[in-house]
Amino acid sequence: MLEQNLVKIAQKYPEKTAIVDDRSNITYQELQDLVRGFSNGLRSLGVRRADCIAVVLPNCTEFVISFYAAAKLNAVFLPLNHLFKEEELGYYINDSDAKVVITDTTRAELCQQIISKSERKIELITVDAAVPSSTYFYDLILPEETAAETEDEIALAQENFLYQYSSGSTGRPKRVGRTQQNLYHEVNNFTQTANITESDKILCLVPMYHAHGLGNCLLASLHNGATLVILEQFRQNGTPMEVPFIFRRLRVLELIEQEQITILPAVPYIFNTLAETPRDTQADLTSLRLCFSAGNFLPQDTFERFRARFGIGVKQLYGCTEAGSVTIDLDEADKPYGSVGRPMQNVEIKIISDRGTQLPVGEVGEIVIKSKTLTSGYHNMPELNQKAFANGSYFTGDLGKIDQSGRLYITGRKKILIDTGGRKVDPIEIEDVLLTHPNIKEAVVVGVKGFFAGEIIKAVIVPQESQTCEEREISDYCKARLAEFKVPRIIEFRDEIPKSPLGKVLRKALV
Amino acid sequence: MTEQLKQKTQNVILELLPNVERQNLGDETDIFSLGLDSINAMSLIFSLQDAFDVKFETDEISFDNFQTVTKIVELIEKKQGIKQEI
Repeated sequence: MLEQNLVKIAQKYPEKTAIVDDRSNITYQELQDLVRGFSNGLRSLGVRRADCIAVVLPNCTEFVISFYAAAKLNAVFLPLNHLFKEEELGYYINDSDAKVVITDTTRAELCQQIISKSERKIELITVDAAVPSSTYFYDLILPEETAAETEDEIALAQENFLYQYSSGSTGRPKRVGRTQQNLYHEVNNFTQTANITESDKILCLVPMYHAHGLGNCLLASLHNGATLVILEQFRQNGTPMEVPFIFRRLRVLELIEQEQITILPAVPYIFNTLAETPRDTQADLTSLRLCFSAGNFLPQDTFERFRARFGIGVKQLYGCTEAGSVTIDLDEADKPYGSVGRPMQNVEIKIISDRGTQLPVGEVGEIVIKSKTLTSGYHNMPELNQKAFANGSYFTGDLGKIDQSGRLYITGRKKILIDTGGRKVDPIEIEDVLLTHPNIKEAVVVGVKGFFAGEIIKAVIVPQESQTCEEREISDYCKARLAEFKVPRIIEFRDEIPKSPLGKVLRKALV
Repeated sequence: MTEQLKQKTQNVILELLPNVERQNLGDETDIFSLGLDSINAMSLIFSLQDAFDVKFETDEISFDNFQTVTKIVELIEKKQGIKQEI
């Protein structure tokens, strides 16, 4: 379904640039050829319908090719954070029963370790060079088309195509499966709402493994014949490295101007960093027609400073892994600050009371979404699904209200997530790791306001009786098990954790 | 590299990384490998500007210029030299 749309777009705009990244620009015809070739290559490795393909890559052209090749094969696409450590990646690769892992040479050894511990046969593919025990991505671009299995296309579009994981309130993350049809509706809703056309150029600064980057950058551009411009990875002496966004700011401003970017989807932290660009730096952002922020609430201060610096009002988008993009604020300047806008086309939102009744305008209740973009539920969690997905609607757990003009305001979130440099971290996941340390009796993780913006992860630890813990030891223990951005920067030892009379942890007292 | 400038730079970095001890912050240590993340990187730049009364240009705010104590001190010395000339 998604790949068929790409074929149509390639027929319509064969010579138009589909993807810009620093290594090469490719046209729609070239993209379609690469997708067809790589799907042949995957098939030659034995990948079939419903097989899972895990992708552990930063944003790059090969990520996009893999996505559409998986769609063409009616396989399942599992995009994973490339900064994850062995334990994290191993969990997702095994939980999803992945048959193939696509990565780069930076992470090939790590992926090989995971594969060697698995009892299943898993193929490893590397995108930037051949390494032992793996197949080079471009050696799998095979010209000859093997006979495709004839299947009922509509039925296939209703099978799970995308796996993403949503952090849970306890234990391991929940697996969210979405179909090609879900994504097709999501991108169509977004296209109709934000008027995306083939003349748009979307700059992708956010990770494509996340719903924001996948839906609002990759799909929004390539589904419409627009151009997807990828901020390439930073390289030092030829080696790709992760560096704080502040060091990419100049490059981003350069790309906006050079490529005449029209749409900039990002997160509050990115807009905040861009807003801090010194006044004497020349930056022509006049090509931008839409800047929008998602992932977390955009602080008013960031909104005001970005507008003062560049003359552009950043819009807000509200979405979730379970439904993709849900609302967007496209109003012009004269409106109350703080709204996340109105529902996308074909999306219905209601505010529901504790008793399940619909609340009138202005009253705060749970935000409930009804849309064809919705997942059918969490994998293997029937009780939770019964609560969260009743009557074809998704009960988000987020609190909000709707005003007379139909604008949604978020007033409370169900999950306590820490926003550290634009990445959302679930404190429970870090606590779970800390509690496996033999010298730790209790651990609570909170976010404390950083010096500049965002939050810094702080762990408050109660050691086991008669045991001593060292900060460095705890930090190293976390580093070995968690992606670097999840490792607590502040570690504090206490004799006890403050709790309410009912035993509830008083997190605010630990900040 | 003056010792005073170096120590002041180390102080700014260590204030942002409370879990790091001074002996682990050498002149050539990659400060980003010590856990300086996106949030702290922004704070580092503002804190250095305040501490040394300099203003970094957008094109000076690069990973290379802020990766080690030596590199930061070199940049600040350059900035202060330019300031004195003016």
